[in-house]
Amino acid sequence: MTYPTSLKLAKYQSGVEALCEILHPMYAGDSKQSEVNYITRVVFRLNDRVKAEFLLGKYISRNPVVGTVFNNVESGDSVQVSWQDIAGNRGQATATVK
Amino acid sequence: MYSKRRFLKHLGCWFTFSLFPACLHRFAYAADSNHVDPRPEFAADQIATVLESALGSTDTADDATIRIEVPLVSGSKEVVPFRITAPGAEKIVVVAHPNSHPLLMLVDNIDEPVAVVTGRARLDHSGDITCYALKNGQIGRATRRIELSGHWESFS
Repeated sequence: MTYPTSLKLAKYQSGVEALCEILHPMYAGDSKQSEVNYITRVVFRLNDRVKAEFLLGKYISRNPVVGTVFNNVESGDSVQVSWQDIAGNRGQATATVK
Repeated sequence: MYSKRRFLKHLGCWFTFSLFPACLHRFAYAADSNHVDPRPEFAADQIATVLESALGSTDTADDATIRIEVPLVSGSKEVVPFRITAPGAEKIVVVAHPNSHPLLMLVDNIDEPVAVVTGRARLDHSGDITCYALKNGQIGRATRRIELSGHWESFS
């Protein structure tokens, strides 16, 4: 199953904040729903170099937004984000610094 | 002749067969609600266990350089935004005290001089969010309290 992934870049102080939004239900398997499926890992890369690796639990809200700030970026740099959920689904998105 | 007795018998059968799948579904819920995260730090229900698994130590100290931006009052317990700034952090652990499994997020492989992480959490009740940041072998700590409004805690 595919879940839409978007990556937005915004100026943040002297750097650039990368915000990744994944339209994912984040089923926690609690009393409200029986299915268990939530995102476990999100990796941010800047020019193919890992900058931050997020390990997430089931208490992250649905349609999660995770983000980080890159302090030393230049115009034309490429930001990639990739994620994986507990069911094995994967997704990714790419954006270029303007 | 469609007697009253026959009618009650059919009604009983109808209720039995219509409610049986619902009961099975309920049992399935009970089985899945016991889902335990395969990662030990996320399955832990004590913060000390989380820190031991994630950072290798429970020895922490207050750190004024760690900044947590959260709303003082959140209208929804399903979406509580937070942003954490931790200069020099190599690893960040974010825990929510009210939750049965407190670890929200573990940020590793940080390759920035000032780590800034953003997320949205779900909380069971009003309570504290604490950030632990590992830098130079020391674990710093900062805490902020979040009050939930707009829901009845006794029904959650």
